[in-house]
Amino acid sequence: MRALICTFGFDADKIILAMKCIKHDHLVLVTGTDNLEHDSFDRISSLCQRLRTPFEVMTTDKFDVLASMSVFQDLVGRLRSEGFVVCMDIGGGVHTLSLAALLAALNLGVETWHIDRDPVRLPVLSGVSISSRLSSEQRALLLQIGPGARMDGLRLPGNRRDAVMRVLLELKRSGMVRVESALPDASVSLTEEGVVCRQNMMRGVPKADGFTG
Amino acid sequence: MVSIMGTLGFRPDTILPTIRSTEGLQRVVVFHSDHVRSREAVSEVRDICEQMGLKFSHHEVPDAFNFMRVSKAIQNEIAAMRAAGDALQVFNVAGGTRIMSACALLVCTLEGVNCVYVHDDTLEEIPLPMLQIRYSDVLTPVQRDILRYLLEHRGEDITQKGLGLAFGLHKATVNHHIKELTARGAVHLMPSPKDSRIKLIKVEDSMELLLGRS
Repeated sequence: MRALICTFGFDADKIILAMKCIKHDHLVLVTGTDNLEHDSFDRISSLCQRLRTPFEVMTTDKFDVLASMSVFQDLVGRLRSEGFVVCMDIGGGVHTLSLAALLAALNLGVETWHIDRDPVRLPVLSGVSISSRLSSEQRALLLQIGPGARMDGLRLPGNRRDAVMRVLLELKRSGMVRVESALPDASVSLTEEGVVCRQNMMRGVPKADGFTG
Repeated sequence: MVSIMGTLGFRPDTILPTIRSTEGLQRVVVFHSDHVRSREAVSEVRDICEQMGLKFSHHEVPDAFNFMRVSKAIQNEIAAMRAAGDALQVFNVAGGTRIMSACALLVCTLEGVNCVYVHDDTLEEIPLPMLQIRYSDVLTPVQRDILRYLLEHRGEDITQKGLGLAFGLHKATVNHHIKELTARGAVHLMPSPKDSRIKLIKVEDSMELLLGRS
C-alpha cells in the first residue's frame, strides 16, 4: 500500500497530475488553513470520492518551515506505522511548504517528486534516513545527551572512555553535538541538527519501506 | 574569501538578512531567473554590495523551472568556489522560484553546505537543520560505477546482461546491485518495447547529482 503526500496551494491540476504520475492507494494533502476554502480543494476532494481513494488533509502554518517540517515528519512516521510505503510530491503550495517537505523527505528517506510542468524524481534515496546512517554507538550516545549532559556522564557498552571520546568526536564532526566547556567537566549538548536526528530516531526505523541503508 | 550564496526572486529583502549576519563577508553570489523583476532585484543587491565593498556575482538561470539545469548550475558553482579555496558560509534559499529553492536545498544537503531561509513576513533569518546525506557511503563503489555508466549511456537500451558484460560481473552480482538500486529508487526497470520479456534498466537524470561529489 502506497501513500502519496502532496504539498497543496491553489492548483488542483498539479495534484491531479501527481495522482496520475505516482502510483498510490491513499492521498494526503498538506496545506495552509486558508487553502481549504478554495474551489480547487473541493475539486480534488470530489475526485477522490469518485475514485474511492482514501483522502485526508493536514494543515500547517505554511510560512513556518520548521513547524511544517515537523508536521511532515510526524505524518510520514504515522503513515509508515500504519504499513504504508510513503512517497511525496513537493510541487504544489508556497515554496516554504515545499522546502519543509523536502527537508523531511531527506531526513527520513522518502521517495520524492517535484511535479509541476514535468514530473521530476528527486535524488532522494528511499529508506536512507539520517538516523539509519548512524552507528549503534552514535545512536546510543545521542540518546543520552539531554539538558545538562556532561561528558563524563556518557556511557557506552563496555564502559570504555576512549570509545566515548571517539564516538563523541564523530558526532561533533558531523555537526550533531557541541562541547561547551573545557575538559574534564565538559558539558555536551545537541545542535539543531542533533535534535532533528534524535527526533527521527525516536520515530523508529521505517517499517513499511523495509530498507534502512 | 568568506562567501555566501542565495537564490533571488523579486525581493532583495530575502537575501539582505544574510548579508548583514555573515561575519567577515567578502563575496555574494546569487542565482536568479531571467524575469525582468528578478533582474531588478539583482541590480539592487549589486548596488548594495558595491557600497559595502563586497565582490558580487550572479548566475542567470534561463529556465528557472528546469530542475536539472538549476541544480547543476548551483552544484558547479559550489565546486568552483571550493576549488578556489573560498569559504562558503551559508546558502540562503529564501528567494526565487520554488524549484530554485528546492534545488538549492537539495544540492546543499548533498554538498554539506549550511542553509538559511528568511521568513516572508518578519524577514527573520532562520537556519535550517541541515544534515549532510553522504550517499557515497550508502552506495558501494560498484553501484556508483553502475549509476555513472547508466547516466552516460542513458539513451541506450541497457539490460542486466549488458551491464554484466560491460563490468565483467556475474549476472547474479549484477542482479544483486540492481535490486538494491531499485529498492532505493535510484533506477527502475521497464519492459523493452521490442520484447516485453526483456527488462531495460533506466536511471532518472536527477541521480547525476548524487555523483557530483567524488
